[in-house]
Amino acid sequence: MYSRLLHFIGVCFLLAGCSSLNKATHLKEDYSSKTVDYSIIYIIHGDSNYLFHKDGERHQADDEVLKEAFSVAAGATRGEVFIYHQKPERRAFFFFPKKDRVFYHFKRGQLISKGNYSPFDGGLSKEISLFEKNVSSSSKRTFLAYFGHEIPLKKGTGYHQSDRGEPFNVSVFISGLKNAHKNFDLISLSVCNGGNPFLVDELTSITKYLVTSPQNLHLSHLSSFKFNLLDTNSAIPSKNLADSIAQDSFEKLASFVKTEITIATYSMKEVAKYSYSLSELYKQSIQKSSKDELIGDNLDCMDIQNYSSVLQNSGVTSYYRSSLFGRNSDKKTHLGWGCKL
Amino acid sequence: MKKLTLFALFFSFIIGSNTLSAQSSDPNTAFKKHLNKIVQNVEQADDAETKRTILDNSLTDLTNAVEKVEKIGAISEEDKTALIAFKSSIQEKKDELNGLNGFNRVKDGQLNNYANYILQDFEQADKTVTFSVTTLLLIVIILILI
Repeated sequence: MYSRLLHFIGVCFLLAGCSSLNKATHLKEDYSSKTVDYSIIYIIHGDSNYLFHKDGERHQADDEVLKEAFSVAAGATRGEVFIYHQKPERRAFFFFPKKDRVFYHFKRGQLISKGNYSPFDGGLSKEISLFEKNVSSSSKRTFLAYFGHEIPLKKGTGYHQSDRGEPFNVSVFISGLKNAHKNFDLISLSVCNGGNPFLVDELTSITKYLVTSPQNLHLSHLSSFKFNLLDTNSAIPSKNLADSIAQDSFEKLASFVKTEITIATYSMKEVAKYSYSLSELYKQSIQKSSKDELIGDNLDCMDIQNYSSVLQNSGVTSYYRSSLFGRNSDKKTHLGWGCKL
Repeated sequence: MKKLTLFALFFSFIIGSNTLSAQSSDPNTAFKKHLNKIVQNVEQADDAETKRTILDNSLTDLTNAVEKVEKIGAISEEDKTALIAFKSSIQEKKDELNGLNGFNRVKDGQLNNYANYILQDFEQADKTVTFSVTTLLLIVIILILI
């Protein structure tokens, strides 16, 4: 009797353990060999509170982005789109991950594969690994769009609601991206306070162009519809694409957001000439704080005396509108760099 | 035999259970819904005076809830610091509503926009507010009871 019970429990563990493998459904086998001009990766963090209200209605930010990603993917008839939705991860027997994250692979506008997976760690290494295994060899350009909360500067535990002990911070974020076999043409980083010297400097060796928000960003996120410009012209310069994404996002937010809107594009080749010294100065300020994490909105680095000797905006284009209310409602410009201290 | 049966039942329960996200009921969600309700009440009010009263009273209720939580001895030092910052933010919004402390009074025709500004400001403040879930839960409970 005991041995039968132990056998039963062992089988249950084994079956639950089998969930460590990815589960995929291949939908259009005949599309696998088709060529593409470009690849877009969407990584949509959903393992936290992303609820916001607009016109009285409830919205889940990650679900809204997922719909947008599907729309872009359906219109990408000359490219391929990988979508990774980082949903909360459940566990069987408190140990075995149940593969709640979902991936979709679209090619030339068609869904060719979808499935479930579990992360390797708190960062993006699993998503990049899946991308590397499935990216088409014909793809000449790669674009990344990440949607989530602010990427913590220091510790980063608590970022994932279902696995609060697993850290996710700038270092973990960068280390995951470095697993990609080649640099990105453009990263659209839809997070609060993404345009800070530390993170931007780390990204100078990973992407040619960056779009992000130097300060708080409304949960409705940056817009990604302009990725479809790649279909009308797959050779569109990445700078033009970055500016289109930034402009489109700014117009969307300005239509209903009453708080401050700060979006910036960074031409990384130009920014890299001074970002290291700016980042080192910023990191010194961060490290002086004894707190495990630095919280609260960034300020315009231009308004903080500490950075005036190294601060520049060469290579940075800022899209700015002040808050309609509050102390900074008369602020006219923003340099494009956000700092906490 | 009884112990074995209980053990087996316990394991069956574990097999069947899922650690689902409780996002629909977490304090962040409850707090955001509370703020949205205030916005709806302001927008539906007929006149500026009523809109302003709703906003002023709601911000006062929020401050009172925070002060009640501050008096609870079990709050961490980090949360105490965060509560002070949060209370200061609420006070600033009250000051602007009423034209105090160097602010121009929010105009009657801007009260709906101001209500939405408060909602958006709190919703987008990364992870809504900066103190622990437990402290936020206490604030939400007190707000519901007011």
